[in-house]
Amino acid sequence: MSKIREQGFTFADELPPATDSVVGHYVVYTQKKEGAPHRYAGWLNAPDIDMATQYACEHYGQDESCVNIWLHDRSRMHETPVSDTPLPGEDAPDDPGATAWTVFTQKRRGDIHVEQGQVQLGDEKTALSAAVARFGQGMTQVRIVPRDSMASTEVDRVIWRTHDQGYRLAKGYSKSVRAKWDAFRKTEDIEEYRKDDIENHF
Amino acid sequence: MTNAMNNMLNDLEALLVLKMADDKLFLGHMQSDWTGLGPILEEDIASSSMAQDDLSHALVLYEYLGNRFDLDPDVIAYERKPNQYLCCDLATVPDDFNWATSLVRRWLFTHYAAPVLDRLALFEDKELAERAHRLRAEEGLHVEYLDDWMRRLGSSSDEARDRIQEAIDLLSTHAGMLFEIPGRDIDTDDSFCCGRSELFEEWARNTNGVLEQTELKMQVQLPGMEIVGGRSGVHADHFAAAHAEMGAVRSADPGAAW
Amino acid sequence: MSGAANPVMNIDPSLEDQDKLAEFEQRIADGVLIEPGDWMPDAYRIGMLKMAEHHANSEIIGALPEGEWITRAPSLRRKLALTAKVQDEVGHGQMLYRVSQDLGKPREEMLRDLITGKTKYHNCFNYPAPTWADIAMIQWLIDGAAIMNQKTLADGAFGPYVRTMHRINMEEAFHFKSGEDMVLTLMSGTKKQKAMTQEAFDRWWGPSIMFFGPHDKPNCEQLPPMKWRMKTESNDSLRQRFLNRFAPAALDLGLLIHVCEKDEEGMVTSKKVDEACVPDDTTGNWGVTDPDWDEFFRVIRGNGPCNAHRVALRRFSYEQGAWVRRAIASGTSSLPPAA
Repeated sequence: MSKIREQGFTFADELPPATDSVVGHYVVYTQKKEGAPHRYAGWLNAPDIDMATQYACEHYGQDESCVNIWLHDRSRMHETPVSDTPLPGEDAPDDPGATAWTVFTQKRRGDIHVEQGQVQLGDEKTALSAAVARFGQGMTQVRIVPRDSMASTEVDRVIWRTHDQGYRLAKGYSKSVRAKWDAFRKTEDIEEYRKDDIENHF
Repeated sequence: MTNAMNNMLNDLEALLVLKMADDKLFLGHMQSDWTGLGPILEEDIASSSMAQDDLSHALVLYEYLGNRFDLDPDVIAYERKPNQYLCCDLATVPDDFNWATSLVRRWLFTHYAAPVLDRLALFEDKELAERAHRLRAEEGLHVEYLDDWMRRLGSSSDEARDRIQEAIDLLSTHAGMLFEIPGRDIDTDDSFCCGRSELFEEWARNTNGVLEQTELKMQVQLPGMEIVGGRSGVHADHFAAAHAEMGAVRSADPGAAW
Repeated sequence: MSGAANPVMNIDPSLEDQDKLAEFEQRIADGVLIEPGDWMPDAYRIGMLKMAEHHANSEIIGALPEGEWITRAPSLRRKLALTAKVQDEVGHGQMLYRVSQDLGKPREEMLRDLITGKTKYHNCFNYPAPTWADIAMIQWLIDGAAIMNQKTLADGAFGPYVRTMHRINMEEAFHFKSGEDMVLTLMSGTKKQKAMTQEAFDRWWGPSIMFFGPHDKPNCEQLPPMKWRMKTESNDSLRQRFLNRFAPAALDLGLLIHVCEKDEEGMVTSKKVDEACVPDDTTGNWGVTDPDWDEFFRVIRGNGPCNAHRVALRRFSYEQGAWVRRAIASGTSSLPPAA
């Protein structure tokens, strides 16, 4: 192992002063395929939205194949409370001159938020109410984010890598594991063991 | 050493691929060691992704060579003698977990790798050209990311700027040797190495273009053709250490499958 | 890998608003998930904060023993896989710290509490990984145990934690599969490889059995952690499922299951075959010799083979990176626009 990992350390009595590098808190959505809705992936801290976009690509963009990423500062979103009863909302016609808001909804408690569409209305209250009326049927929560405060990866940006990613995916090992078990176990036992994998664990 | 390996090492075009693969292997080797120890969690994750890119790029190029010369890519990566590796010194200069050294090293290298991959992507061999083309797209991410960091730190606090300057001063002495030509019997300036002076000028233009937006300074000269180093298999001690560590498990049980 | 095998939680529900508490408990019993805007007992908020923090700490420290072997991985694919795996752990730490940040504790404070020993992480990372086969064992046994545990945690009641668990479990499937592939490769390999694997198995079997935590209290299902679905399965029940899956698999691979004694460095000094590790005639459940719980508590208190080293390396990394965080915090508003 590298020498530093191995070495003994001596430290001053005190830690260096705390530095809060957590300047911004960003919410990240990934799109798996062109045309598919953007789905909530996670959150991260970054000094600004440019670096947040890079971080989002290198973290959430590498977890599974992904063609586009959206993110926004958490302070820019507006949400209804999480509700188990139908959300109240009143629709209004879009105003082409007004702010465009992207709408995300949560279908059930515990679910992730998924992109539904857009409303274009002056203030957040009317916009949220219209978003609920248009997209909130059967949803536990509706969230709106002003379009102009969302960052998006550029159209041609490589996010998911083109070289073989099998090394970082379970399916990259399935064949090899299956073949190696053959030397140790009867076929029916392997099938039983694999079934257990899929049903109970993964 | 097998015949297949000798065939590869005697093929001048293969050496051009091998020097890029070896750079990527050792750069990825040094940087992947940082995983879990970076200065900010998000940064740790991002840099590890790029270390994986470098290791993957090495693999993609070793696979190309493996197909061509009938060799196992891992045998090419792990089982040559130290003087048969063609990576530059810059790749294995120890960084002692100093983030400034790690950052500047990768930044100096990516501005070299991007134009070299551009040139490899123009080779007549379609398989090589196609591989280099794919790698180049990902190299672009590294350029953008590392440039961004250099601009940020190079114009933030005095402390950060001084640390980055110190790393530049340490590493820029090795940077010129990025352009060393492998294979001693190539003696023209612009033959196999895709035009050494032209490549150097492009590199200097791009790196200085970033530094001009900061308070950082760098001086690098293109070393003379007679100066030999890593690309000729003449390596510093830190290479030997990195090479030994990389092969420690594999060489303890030769021939075993892992 | 993780180990939300459970930070010590002293929860006193008698301090809460009893009507609201009754309603909350009914909702939980009905399987309703709790979202951050909902009313919840203070003890629940604090308990979830600590649980997510402990889990995050475990990911961050869990990155260290395996990180030691990235530079020595014996093939390019293994090197890539190990790097990606350790990176995932940092990613999981980041996501889990975020859950606790939202419950009120800044990340910086959590990182400082970890390196000053105010907060803990999972016990199993205080054991050494002296060979490559230990990496295989960590990924097979410890990640296997972690997935079993986290699968039940994903069935918990706190929305943000549940969402994070789902994402983590998806990624950890690769960790386990890669570990299984390594163990299979080594046990199909040379004499030397098999011997190294048996030795690593001997080191990790005990910590795996202890992974799920000590035996449960008899009324554990009525106590807040389970009653409030912060966890959903008892330690002993999880341990049984682990044994039923891994004991026969280990034996089929040709490994011997031993009861071991270890020295202070965590290295095995003597071992004998575990006679109790056989399936029960009627239930089919596998048995195991009860591990040395004194050792478990000794390691938790900070006296395991690697406690000091793990925390010190984490502190080194924290101090070493402080200037980067200072530079970021000093503001990048004067930043020239990106070219």
